[in-house]
Amino acid sequence: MDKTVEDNFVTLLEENQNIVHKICRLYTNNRDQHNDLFQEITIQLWRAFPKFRGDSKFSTWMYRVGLNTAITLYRKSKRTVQTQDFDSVMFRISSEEYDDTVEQQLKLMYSAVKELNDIDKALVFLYLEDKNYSEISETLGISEVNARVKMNRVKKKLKKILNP
Amino acid sequence: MVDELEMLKKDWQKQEGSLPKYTKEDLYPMLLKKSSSVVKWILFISIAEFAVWILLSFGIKITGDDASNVKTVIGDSVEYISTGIHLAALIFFIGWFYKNYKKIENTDSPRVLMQNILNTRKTVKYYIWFNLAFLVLGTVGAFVLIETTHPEFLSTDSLFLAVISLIIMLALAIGILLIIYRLLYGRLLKRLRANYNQLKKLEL
Repeated sequence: MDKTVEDNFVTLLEENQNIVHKICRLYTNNRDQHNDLFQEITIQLWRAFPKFRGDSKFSTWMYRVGLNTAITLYRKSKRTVQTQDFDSVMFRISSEEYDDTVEQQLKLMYSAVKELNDIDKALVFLYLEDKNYSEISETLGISEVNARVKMNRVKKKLKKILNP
Repeated sequence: MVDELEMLKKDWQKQEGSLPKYTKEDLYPMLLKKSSSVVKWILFISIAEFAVWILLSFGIKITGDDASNVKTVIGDSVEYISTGIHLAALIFFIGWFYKNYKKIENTDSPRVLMQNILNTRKTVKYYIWFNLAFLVLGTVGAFVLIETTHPEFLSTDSLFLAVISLIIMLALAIGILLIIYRLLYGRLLKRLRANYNQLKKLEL
């Protein structure tokens, strides 16, 4: 493989690696799995890179390949018990800005999102990444209307968890 | 009421600082590692399945007196035709498998990607069903042929025994296959199928 292409790819990946890390955080439960999935997404991105024409942003293209890997291609090497170590595995909760109730709510929300099925998780992930419905529908290959309907259902589901 | 998801979105976007950071030196070696994706597993298992059936279809020949008796009765041409059909089917299925395998692109939409993976896997399944069907039809055909041309070779008892043993053999073969499939593909494709169904529901 051409060294320049490799350099180019690694530079782009280094700049946009947060996207991959965030997908890993959402779809895995521990550091080993996180690294494992990151590795697999990197391989899949690298494999698809010759077909990347630059007509879309590298980051947009990464969302598609990254989510495809997490949802479809990735095979967990080890089964992990569902109980998760909140502090080390889940997301950082800023305690300075939120009072206890908000923090508690966020924890509940994160754990509820983690419990969603893979597809709903992808939908929420893109939403949290501030993607509009047109981008969500394009990345997931579903219609915009269906993306909206589904997102509303997920929102209701999450609301119910918070306000039983 | 505050939209909880908006609150979550705000918090989500603040996590950047806590994410791991890989340097270029960390990333380069990752490009050289081998994939362990579902597709790769399916490819390996499929090759193994093709190999097993090629061995069963072409490698194992009946030898001994019985074989020469059978050959005398059904004739060489029938054997040639059977081998020809097997070979043609093998070429067809491998070609079909390769075509489906090449269609798998990780840049496709998740649903298309899943569909293509399932189709690739189905090709091997069809090949196995073809072999089982061929085994049944071939054996039944051979009995009919022997019965009509050389009835002296088959007594009523031996025909009955042959039919019973064929049924038992088939039941065993299908049973073993189903168990292997449930274990192998069941585990491998459980998540993929569930996600595929979820996506399909979204399109309704």
